[in-house]
Amino acid sequence: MDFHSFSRRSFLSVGALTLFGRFRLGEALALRAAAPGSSHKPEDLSIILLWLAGGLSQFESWDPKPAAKEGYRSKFGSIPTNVPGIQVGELLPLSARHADKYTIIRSMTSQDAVHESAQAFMLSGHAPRSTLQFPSYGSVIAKELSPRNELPPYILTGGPVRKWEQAAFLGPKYNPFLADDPNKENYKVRDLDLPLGVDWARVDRRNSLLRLADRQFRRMDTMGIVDAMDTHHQTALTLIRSERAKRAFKIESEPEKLREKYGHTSLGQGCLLARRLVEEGVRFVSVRSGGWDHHFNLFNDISTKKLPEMDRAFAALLEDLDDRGMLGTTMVIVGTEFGRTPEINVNDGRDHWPAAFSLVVAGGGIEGGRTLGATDQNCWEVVERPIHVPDFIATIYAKLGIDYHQMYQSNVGRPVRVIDEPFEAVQELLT
Amino acid sequence: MRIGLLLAVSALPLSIANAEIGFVDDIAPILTRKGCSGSNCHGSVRGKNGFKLSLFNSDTEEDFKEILSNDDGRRVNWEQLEQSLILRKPSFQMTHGGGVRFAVDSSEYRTILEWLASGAPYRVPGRPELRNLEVSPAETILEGPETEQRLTVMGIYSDGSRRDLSRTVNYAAQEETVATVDDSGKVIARARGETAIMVRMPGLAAVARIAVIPEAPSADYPRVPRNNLIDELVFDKLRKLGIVASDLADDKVFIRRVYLDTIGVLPTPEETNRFLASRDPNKREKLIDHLLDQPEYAQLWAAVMADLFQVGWGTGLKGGYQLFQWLRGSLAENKPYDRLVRELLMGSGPFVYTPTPNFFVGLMQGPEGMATQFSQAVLGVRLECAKCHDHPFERWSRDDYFGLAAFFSRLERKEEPYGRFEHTVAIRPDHKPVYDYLNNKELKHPETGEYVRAKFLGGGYAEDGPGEDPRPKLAEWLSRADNPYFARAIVNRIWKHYMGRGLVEGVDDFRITNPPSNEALLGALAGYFIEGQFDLKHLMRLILKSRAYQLSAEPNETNRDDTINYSRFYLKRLMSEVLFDAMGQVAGKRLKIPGSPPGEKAISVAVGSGNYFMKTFGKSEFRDVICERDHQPTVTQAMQLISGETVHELLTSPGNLIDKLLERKELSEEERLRTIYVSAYARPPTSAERTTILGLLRDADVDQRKAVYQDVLWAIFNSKEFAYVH
Repeated sequence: MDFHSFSRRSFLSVGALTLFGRFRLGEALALRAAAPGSSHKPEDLSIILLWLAGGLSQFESWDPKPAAKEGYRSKFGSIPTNVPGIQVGELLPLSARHADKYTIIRSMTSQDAVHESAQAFMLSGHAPRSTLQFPSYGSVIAKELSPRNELPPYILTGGPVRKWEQAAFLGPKYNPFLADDPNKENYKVRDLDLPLGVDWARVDRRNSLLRLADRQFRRMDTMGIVDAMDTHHQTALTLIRSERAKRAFKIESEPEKLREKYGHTSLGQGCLLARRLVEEGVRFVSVRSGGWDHHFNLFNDISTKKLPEMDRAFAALLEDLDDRGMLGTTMVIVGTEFGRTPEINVNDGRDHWPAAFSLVVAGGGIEGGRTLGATDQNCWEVVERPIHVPDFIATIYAKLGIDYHQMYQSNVGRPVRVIDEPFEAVQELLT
Repeated sequence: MRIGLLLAVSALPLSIANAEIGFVDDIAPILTRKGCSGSNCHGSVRGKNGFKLSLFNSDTEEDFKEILSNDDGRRVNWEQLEQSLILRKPSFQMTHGGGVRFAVDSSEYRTILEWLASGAPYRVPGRPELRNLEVSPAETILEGPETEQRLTVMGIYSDGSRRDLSRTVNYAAQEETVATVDDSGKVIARARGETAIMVRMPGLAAVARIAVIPEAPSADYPRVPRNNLIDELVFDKLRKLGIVASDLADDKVFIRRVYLDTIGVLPTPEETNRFLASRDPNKREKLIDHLLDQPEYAQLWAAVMADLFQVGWGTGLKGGYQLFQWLRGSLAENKPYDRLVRELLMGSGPFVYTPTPNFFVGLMQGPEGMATQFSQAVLGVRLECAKCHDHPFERWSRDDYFGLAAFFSRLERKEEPYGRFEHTVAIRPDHKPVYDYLNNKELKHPETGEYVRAKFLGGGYAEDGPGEDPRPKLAEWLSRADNPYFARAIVNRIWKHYMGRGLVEGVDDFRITNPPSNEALLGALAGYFIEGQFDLKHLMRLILKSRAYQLSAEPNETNRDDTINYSRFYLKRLMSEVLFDAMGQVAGKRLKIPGSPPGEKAISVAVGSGNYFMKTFGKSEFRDVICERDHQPTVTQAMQLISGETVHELLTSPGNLIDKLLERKELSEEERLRTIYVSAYARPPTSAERTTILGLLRDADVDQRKAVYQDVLWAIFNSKEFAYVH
């Protein structure tokens, strides 16, 4: 009897909190947008995502478990950071010096252990459905926030562009622009300059011939192909004409010392390019790095190659943004689709583990120097403050002032929420 | 009938009445029907307010535990049953986020109460188990909004008995804008379109298809000639829907379409002119037969199947090349498809020297990885969800998943001593344990403790003994006439290749709740394919010779919005290799592709991305996923076409089509222009095109004329008409 009434009361209070939380969020956004002297409006933010595709091992990086049982415990230990009480994996010495700038979320949890669908989930906030592809948050941001200038609002380095990084039913206009790998020698964005011997007068003549050629086709086009391709054609021409674009992509104009500091890797130069792009007004840059799917040879690969590269790039980016006074308006996310199994397999690797994994967020006004949530000593499961994938995506939208309860019309004629219900932004990251 | 029975017995003393009520048969269906276990309520990933049910009660055992014992059993008050949360919440005697699900003293309320009173058994002993749902009518066309149709749902039980469950199941419309359904099974038409109505019981689903049309088709619906069984089934449905098919495509459109679709190349101007001039009434049929016999047929289809079988992914360059060549040879000799797959399935040996083991890409992730790959590529079924939990509404259980994996348990991928990256698919003396990584344990045979028994997807166990290689049994199962997946999966893929849209869309997503847009047609095509001994060309001929394939892409007033019933030809983007080769063909220059010998066509690139152009236009770099290629246009593609090196080289390299035409002094500008247009579009320029371009050419010197032709060719390569099969 007593038990019943107690639990009913706690149920009620949880419900009230949720309601209040939702109210408070809207209020906070309104206040922040209106308050004189507030540092920035929420929609002024830009985002740089370091996307570690394949599944970063939380054991060797952000959630070290020195006390894990034999067979689970990493070959690598943990080190202190510049924030007392926070430890990270010993393979992250440079990032450890900047722990005051970021929050480590150790309690991400999901059920999806398949790369494709888990990436789609982490990048859209929707558990994927076979009947419907959901837009990535880069695309939602590109759609919801007005572009600052002629540069594409959503840029991706690495490539090729995956299905789950795209705009889906929002329309191809909001797909990412692919900037290739800035670590390549003599990097430049392909086809940004007109070929030798072709001037703008020729281009104009070519375009008028093209309009003529497309007249025939338009009669057959019930799917908006002509409009979609024309939009891309115009965007491409605008970019080819843009001095700002040429300048932004000119990574070789950075001093070699700084380039070296980021590291001459795809991830390092990708982060540096991302900073340049954000500086020029791009809203969202995804720097993708592959090769994190360590079923085999985890300890060797992650210690000699993967984490040192990531550590260097991430630390350099934080420092560089901070030096330029950009950290307050630039949110940096270190993301991945799931974590890796506590158990070390026979191939010296770890397999997929979505039940408990880590993400890191910095900048954009998010308080640093803390951890959020916790896992048990073997990292089997989240034991404190579980954060579900859509909660996290909702947080990004909330930071940018995007209403994540709004509905979109999907291509199958069904209205779809920006993120899956019934999730809510993580309040700790909003204050 | 059943409800009546329950109401009647509820008046009797509890001890007598309640022996009839079990969780699986009576309680879980209430939770499903009343929406308690829906994805927005307690069936969501993390439940609701601390109470979590499996989605639509697909896991009744877990739900049984959740209600009776989880959270210290606080949901049932055994002292005072009426005070149980499981009754007070849904009847809103307590605050409940989900509102009133049923009233106190409703039949649902009383059923649950009586069930508790009887000791809350999981199952009533001796009662037959529900095995299947049958909904009728399976397909209905409703004429005009507000028209109604009542659905009847029969349950089929383990003892063969049938029971009317129309008032027990949960109903939901997939597209509520088209039609809505209430919980008695009454469907009400809303607006033009088609939708599936899902019918659910715990762990089971069935679907009815509803089409809504504004009014009955008019009596003067035109007669459309029908070439074969495809046309019968396509046009029958169109007629019922009151949609009039587009006209037959003209010869110019047809020849370009059929060349690109069957052999991946454009017709030459000579071929086009000869075809257009021919008065043979059977010239289309003859051309189809001729094209299917060309070596380019095998080149094109090897490239298409290379994506399907992930050629080169994870087995390396040399091995990928081996498999690619093998596919091409098999297609050239028109090897029956069941034999082709059987040979792949039975492969073993080193990747580098033997083609077929390169099929075992998924083996990198063990037998389980092979199960996923095999079911997706060969059966058109995505099994990944079943890896971790029973798939809601589908027949796939974790037993199905692990049972399919067991067919590959005799295989092992291992490194050979003679080279670091040279791997072999070896046949083990024993069975590799199937690994259940959700529970982090190796699975063993339930009886012998040695290995998991191989089980056909959705079917019975393969009668294999310990130590036996079960693969031949899997191959034999594939070619059985009653195999529900194998023929339908490939037939649907081939249909999509030619018709632009799968009867089931995505082609690797066959499941009850994703029904084909025309079930009769898919069934007939699969039957035709099986009767034809899995002969691919035999099936392709049927499709290509149908009027449906030969329809114009231009819409009329009745079919503009149709996207699923093939009332006109649906536009298709050229595959990147075909696009690249077609541009080279028109320009009269074959550009060298990195890693390939000079003169090699893009369609022949076995492994790797080819070049930047092909990659940009969607050739998958490593074929690392089976999913279909993405054909959405991108800004990067636009830049590549505007200022990229491929187009520029084709326009300017010496000796190209433009140079050759200008060299031939005897040609008029009009003849030159016509050649360019016929090469690219299989049609002469329109009068507007002719006037404009001839105007630019007039009064121009040689260099200027060359520039005009370059600009014309640039516009063609950038045009949608060139990039699409139409």
